[in-house]
Amino acid sequence: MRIHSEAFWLPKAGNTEEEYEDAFWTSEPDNSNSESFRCAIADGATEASFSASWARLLVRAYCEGKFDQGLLDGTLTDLQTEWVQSVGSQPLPWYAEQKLLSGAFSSLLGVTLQEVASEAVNGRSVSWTATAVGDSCLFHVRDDQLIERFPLTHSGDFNSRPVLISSRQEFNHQLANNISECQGTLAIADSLYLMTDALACWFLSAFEQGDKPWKIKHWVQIEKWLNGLRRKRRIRNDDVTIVRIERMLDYED
Amino acid sequence: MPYTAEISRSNPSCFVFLIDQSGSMQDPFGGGELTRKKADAVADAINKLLQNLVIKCAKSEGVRDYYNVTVIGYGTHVGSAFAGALSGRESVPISDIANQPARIEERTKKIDDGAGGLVDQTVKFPIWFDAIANGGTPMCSAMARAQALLSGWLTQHPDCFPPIAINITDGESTDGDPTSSANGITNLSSSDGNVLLFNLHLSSTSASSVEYPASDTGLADEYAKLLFSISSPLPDYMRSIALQEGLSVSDGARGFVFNADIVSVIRFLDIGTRPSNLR
Repeated sequence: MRIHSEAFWLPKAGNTEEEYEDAFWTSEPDNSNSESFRCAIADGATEASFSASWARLLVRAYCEGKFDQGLLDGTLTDLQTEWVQSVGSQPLPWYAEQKLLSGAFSSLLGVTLQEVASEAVNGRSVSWTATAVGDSCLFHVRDDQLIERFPLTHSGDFNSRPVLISSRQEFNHQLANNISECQGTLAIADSLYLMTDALACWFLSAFEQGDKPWKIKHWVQIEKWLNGLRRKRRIRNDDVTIVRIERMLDYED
Repeated sequence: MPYTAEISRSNPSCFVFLIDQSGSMQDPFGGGELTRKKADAVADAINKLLQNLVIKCAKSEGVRDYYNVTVIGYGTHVGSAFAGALSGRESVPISDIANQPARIEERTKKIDDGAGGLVDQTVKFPIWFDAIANGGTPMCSAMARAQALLSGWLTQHPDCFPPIAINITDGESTDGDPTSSANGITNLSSSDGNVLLFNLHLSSTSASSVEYPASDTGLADEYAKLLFSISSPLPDYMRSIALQEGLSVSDGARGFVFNADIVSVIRFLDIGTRPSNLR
């Protein structure tokens, strides 16, 4: 399968690039031709600290296939150990020490595309499987129609208190009940959009008002467009991450 | 819609704590069976409030100045109540509070061991404020001082999230009825809403603790009822967070707490995504 992907990220207005706490990762380059493709985005919680490094660990692990057996196997424990080692190795002021005890928190949305044999044209079709914890969202667009919204489906579903994945196992009691999964088939020219919560909330709100928010006309000027939405208060001031994945026409065999 | 302004380093908000340091704070706290003085309970309350506020604003790179903090003591005199390096300072950025406690003590607390049990953990407990109990209770003067400080802050930060004043007292004002002074505070506003005044009443009576009641029915005495009457209703957004936190707060709940922990108020502050599994 031929996949084209592009990503854009922007820190919260007033914050520096170093203070951006979302993360994203893809298993393949922007233009790829392989049997599988993975992409993940994550949103580190503002109120915790060291969330950015936790979010990065999660997306990378997803794209390396370490969560293929599910989020609740040993991989999470290994990542928690890695996080503690990365952030706790230096002497810290009293408040950073205490914040560290509370752990870092992040959403995670990962999608895996897999080429499968089928009776379709060329004998190939592409399935996708998505896993989510928290409020980062995936949208599937086909023939200019929104055919899937996951895991949240309405703009009113967003609040600032999602259950997220913690870097401290003692805060993950609720995790098993808060993992969502979804799957679909990706036809040629279909697009998947992965977005962190602020943009995803705007996207659903615009869709509910009859717009087609996937028609972002000025992808090259997306920063200017996002800043405009922020100024008009149509989008919450938060880190923004968006990844667009498009299935291209296959090469002739 | 009020109480929706973003709290950020470019648009910070502020806290003013009013601390009763009068002679009556020598009396025992909560019914007299225990030897703990009200002054010690006050010191613990303000130190815990400051600690939690600092932690709320702490990020990987340090503490972000989302708030300025003033602590006004009232007893023998009315003025800044910080101990140590911050002594005498009035409106202090939260990062300075974080980095300049008078001292850091160690205390033990029970934490979840992740396997259904509890284990002891030694934690650092910074101290900015020591127990003091002397003189009368000039609550009206303290509130007038707070009003002047807040008025100055609002002139400089007209669009800030409305400041919050928290008065911690045993309730017995000796320089008059504080109602009009309290109104002087809560009538102040930014473009995002009126200043909020909350009261923590620490009493020697053994009456049950009360958190964020919607009426004064059942409150222990006239002082509690007076403090309830001058406390701001919780804005909708705070009530919503309180409900998500599992606190029972009904419509019309006010920022009044009797013989209980007021640190929950820090959890009501919205500076961004707070996971529901973060405790």
